[in-house]
Amino acid sequence: MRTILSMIKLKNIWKEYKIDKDNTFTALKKIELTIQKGEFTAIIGSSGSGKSTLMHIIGLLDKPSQGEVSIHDKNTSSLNDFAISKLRSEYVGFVFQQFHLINNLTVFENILLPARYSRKKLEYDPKEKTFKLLHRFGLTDKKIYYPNKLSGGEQQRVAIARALIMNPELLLADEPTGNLDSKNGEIILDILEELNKKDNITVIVVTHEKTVSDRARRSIQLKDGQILSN
Amino acid sequence: MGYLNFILQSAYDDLRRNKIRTFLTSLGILIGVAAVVLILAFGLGLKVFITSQFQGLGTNLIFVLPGRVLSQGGGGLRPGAGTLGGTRFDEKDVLSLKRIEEIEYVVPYSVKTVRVESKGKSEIADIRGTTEDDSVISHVEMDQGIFFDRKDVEKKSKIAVLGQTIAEKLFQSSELGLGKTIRIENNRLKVIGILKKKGDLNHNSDSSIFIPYTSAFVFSQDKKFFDIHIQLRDYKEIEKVKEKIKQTLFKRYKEDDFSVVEQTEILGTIESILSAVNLLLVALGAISLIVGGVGIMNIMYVSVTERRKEIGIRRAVGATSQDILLHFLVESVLLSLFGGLIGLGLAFIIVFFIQKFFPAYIDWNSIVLALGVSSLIGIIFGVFPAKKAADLSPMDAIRYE
Repeated sequence: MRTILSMIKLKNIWKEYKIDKDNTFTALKKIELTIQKGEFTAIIGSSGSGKSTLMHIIGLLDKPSQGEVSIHDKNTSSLNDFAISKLRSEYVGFVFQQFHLINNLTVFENILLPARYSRKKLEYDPKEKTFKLLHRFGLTDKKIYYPNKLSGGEQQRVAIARALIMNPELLLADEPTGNLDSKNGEIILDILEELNKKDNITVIVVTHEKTVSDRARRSIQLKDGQILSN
Repeated sequence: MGYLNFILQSAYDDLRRNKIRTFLTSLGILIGVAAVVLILAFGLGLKVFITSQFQGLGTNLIFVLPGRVLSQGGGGLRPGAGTLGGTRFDEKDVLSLKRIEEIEYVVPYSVKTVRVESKGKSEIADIRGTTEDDSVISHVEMDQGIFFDRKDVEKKSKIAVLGQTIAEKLFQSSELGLGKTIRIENNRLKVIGILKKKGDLNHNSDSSIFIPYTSAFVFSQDKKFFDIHIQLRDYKEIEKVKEKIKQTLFKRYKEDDFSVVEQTEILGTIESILSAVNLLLVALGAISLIVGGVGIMNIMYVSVTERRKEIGIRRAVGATSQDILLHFLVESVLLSLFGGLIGLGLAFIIVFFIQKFFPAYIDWNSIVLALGVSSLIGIIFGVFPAKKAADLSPMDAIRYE
C-alpha cells in the first residue's frame, strides 16, 4: 500500500486546438480542480463540453496549452515523455467507451500488457495478478479469447482488469457504459463503485448519463470548457 | 519473459500475422543477399582456381618477360600477355643467365600459333619450343609416352609432345595419338608423348605442342624466344637473383625492354584485379539491397498508419515513445534479417550445385557480411517509420479510426 495521499491538482488549465492557420478552438478554459485520494467523481457535461479533454489531461495522455497538472504535488509540466509515460503507467488506469483492447492479443495478453512495459520491479507476479483479475471479473474461461470474440460487457471488464494490473491509484473512465446495454452498464458501474469503496482507488468517470453520475459522490459539471458547478 | 523477449515476440507475432506481406517485403533483401553472397563465393572460387593453376605451373619461379609489365592499374598480367613492346630473347641470353650460380634451371620458350594436321584433321595450336627442363619446372605429368630429353634438343629431333586437348582433337583419344605423325608447315613431327590435362591457364599447355627449341627454330627464322622461366636453388635468395638477372640483361637491353617478375607478383596482380572486379559486382548486387531496404521502409510506413490506434492504446497503458520506436525498429530488422537468412540459404543451395563444376564456396566473412548488412538495412530503413510511430501523440493515435 502506498503511503502518500493521491491528489491531482489542476491549476489554470487551458487547452486550445488549432483549427486552421488563423483560428483556434478552446476546449478548456481556466480549469481549477483538486481531486483527493479515494474520491468517486463524475465529470458531466454535454457533447463538446470538454469533459473528455479534461480526462485526458488528468490522465497525462494530453498536455494542456497552459497551466499546471500536479500529481502528489509534483508538477508534471517539466517532465519528459519517458517520465510522463512512467507516471501514467504507475498511477493511472484507463477505461474507454470503445474499450480500446488490442485485437491481436488474447484477453490474458491484453490485461498483462501494461506490466510488460513497466520498468520498475513489481512487488507481485503480474501473471498471477492477471489470473486473479480474470477470476474477479468472471473472465477465467475467456483468457485465451481474442477481444472480437467477446461481448461488449466482457470487453469492458477486460479493459477494467487491464487498468488495474499496475495497482493504479487513479482510475479514469471515459463513458464506460456508453457502448453497453443497461444490464452490462450496471455491472460495470458496480465494479467501479466496488473498486472505489473496497480497493480505495480514486475513480473519475466522464459521462453525460445521469444514471452514471448519480453513482458518484462528487459531480463536476462542464459547459463550453469551463466548470459550471463543482 | 524479459522486456527484450517481449519486444522480439511482439515483432515476430506481427510479422507472422502477415505472412505473405512479410515474404514479399523481404524479397528484395533476399535477392540482394543471395546475389552478393554468390558473387563473393564465385570470387573466392576463382581465386582458389587461379592459385591452384599457378601452383601447377611450378614453384620458385622467376619469369623474364619482354617489355614493361603492367603490375598496377590495368592491362592485366601473365607471362605471354599483358606486356608492352620489349625485346625478344635469344640463346645468348639463356647462356648468360645459366652462369648465375643461384639459378638451377633456365628454360626459354618460343611461341608460334600454327595449323597442325594429321590424317586429314586440321587444328590450330601453339607450338612451344623449349628445353627438356620444362618437364621439371612445370611439373609435367605424362599421360602417354615420354617428354623429350637433352639429346633430342641437341640433335634437333623432329618430335613433339602434345597437350591433352589438342591430342584429343587430332586423334579422338590420347592413346591413339602416341607414335603418330603430325604435320606443321610441311614439317613432320613424331608424337612421343601426351601430357595429362593440366588446366588451361597461363601456358595454355593442354592446347599446346611442346617441341625442342632447336627444332622450333624451323618455324621462327629469327631464332628468338618469347620468354624465359627460371627456377632457383633456394627461394630465399629471390631478390638477390632477380637483381643479378637484371644486371645480366642490362648488358644487352634497356630497362624498358624486359621485366623480371616472380610468380607471387603475378598472382598478387591477378588477385588485385579479381578483387576490384569482385568489388564492382558486389556493389551492383548491393543496389538490390538498397531497393529491398526501400521496400521495407515503405511497408513499415504502411504498418505505422494501419496500427496507429494500437500505438495509441499501447502508449495509454504505459509504453514510452522509446518502446514504440523499439517495437517498429525490431520488426524492421527482423523483416530484413529474415530476407537475409533466406537469401543466404538460397546462396548455399546454388553454391552446393555449382561446386560440382567450380570451386566456389561461402566463407564465414560472407555469412557475417550478409547477416550484418541485412540487420543494418533493417535499422537504416526502419528508423524513419519507427520514429514516426514513436512521435505520434497518444491522444491523436488513440482517436484514429
